[in-house]
Amino acid sequence: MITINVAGFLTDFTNGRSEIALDSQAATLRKALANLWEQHLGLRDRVLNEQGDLRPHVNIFVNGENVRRQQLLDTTLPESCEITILPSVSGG
Amino acid sequence: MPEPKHVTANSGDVLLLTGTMKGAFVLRSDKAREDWEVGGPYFPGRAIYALAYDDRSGRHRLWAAVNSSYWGSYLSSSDDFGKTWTEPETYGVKFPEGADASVKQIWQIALGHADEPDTLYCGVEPAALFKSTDAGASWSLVEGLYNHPHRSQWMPGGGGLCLHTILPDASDRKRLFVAISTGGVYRTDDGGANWQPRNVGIRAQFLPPEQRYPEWGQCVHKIASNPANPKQLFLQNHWGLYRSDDGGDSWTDIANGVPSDFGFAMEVDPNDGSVFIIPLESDEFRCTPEGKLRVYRTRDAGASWVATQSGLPQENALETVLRDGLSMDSLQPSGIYFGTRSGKLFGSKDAGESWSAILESLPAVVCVKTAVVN
Repeated sequence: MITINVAGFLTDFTNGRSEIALDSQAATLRKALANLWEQHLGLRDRVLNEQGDLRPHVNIFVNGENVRRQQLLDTTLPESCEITILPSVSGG
Repeated sequence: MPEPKHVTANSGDVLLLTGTMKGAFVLRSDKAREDWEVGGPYFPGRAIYALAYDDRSGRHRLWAAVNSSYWGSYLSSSDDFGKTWTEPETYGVKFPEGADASVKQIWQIALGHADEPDTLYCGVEPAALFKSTDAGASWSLVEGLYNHPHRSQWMPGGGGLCLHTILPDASDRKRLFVAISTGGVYRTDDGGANWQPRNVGIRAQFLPPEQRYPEWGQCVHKIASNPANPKQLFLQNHWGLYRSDDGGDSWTDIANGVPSDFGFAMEVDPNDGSVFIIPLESDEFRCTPEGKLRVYRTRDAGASWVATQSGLPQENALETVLRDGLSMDSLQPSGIYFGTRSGKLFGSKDAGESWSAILESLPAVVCVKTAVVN
């Protein structure tokens, strides 16, 4: 079971839902996100740029671990996990 | 987030579209331009570097380039003067999959030639041009410029490698100018398939002396054309003020009597071809010289310049006006408006003869555009 958490602005694109259960399994974060886009397309361009790379000031955590310290979108996922998408500390 | 206020605009009203680092504002006045009603903030927290008003084909459409350091850049539009804005599910202005670039920021929105009422252009960072032929419903990369052999050697200026100015030639529907920091001026004469650098005579102060007049690679900050004579162009460079009388084929220095030839903003009066600039002291300091906020005007195509300053602060005014921070309306006499990095918005309803503050506590202003509602 893969659960994806989004917060704040991103819930504008999930019908207000902050917790989304994926309806299919995924071996990597990239595949899990592709499944997420099928349910909530509006998230895609806000989280990834047009070349499919994670935007510089968006972080994704898998079971609390930042995927920037792992294999980014190629991070492998356990069968059951929690994915959290958050804006980073930045701005001014 | 602050609850936005809204304006209601009617035919003949003047709009002052103001983009800041923390959102957009839509100001409205009647043609007297005495009192301004303020709508906004729209997109609070987002940097709005580009705004436009499209009144062609019966539209009353505002466009905003919404830039977020988190969520990327997209275009939003409003058909009710800001009460509601589109929030597109997917972004329209983006490089094709597999390209060596992704949009970092949208810097400019421009209307196409007069006889193409559904054409819009967008300039982005990294420097590239996008075009829409369906009034902004869809966008495509102008590949003629993207594939230009110079592109890989363009260098970012202080604000990034941006295509910030798009100027259709009013007398030639196939001709279009763009300006890139740092790449220079490029012109197409065939609707965008082929582009030629048009920088003869423009100085590149940041290169060694023997290389200071390259074919391309200048840091052009803004170009503007004379509506009554589209072959006459004016250019504010990163050091240097220039005029072209031959559609950009060559440029002549016109920094005659200005306190500095460094600056960003430049506008041409649509009524009489006067040119307005706001000189800044040096590329290191980038503030108004001598602590005086002065808008310089030439009525003789740059042979001489005079300061307009009545009503503007003349002591301790260390202000910065950026490349899209100055705009003019088309009423008689012309209205001229500018916004500063310190969040002040000034206006003149008599072509610069006298000035007054319109707003003084905005976030940093990065874009000012005007329109008269038809």
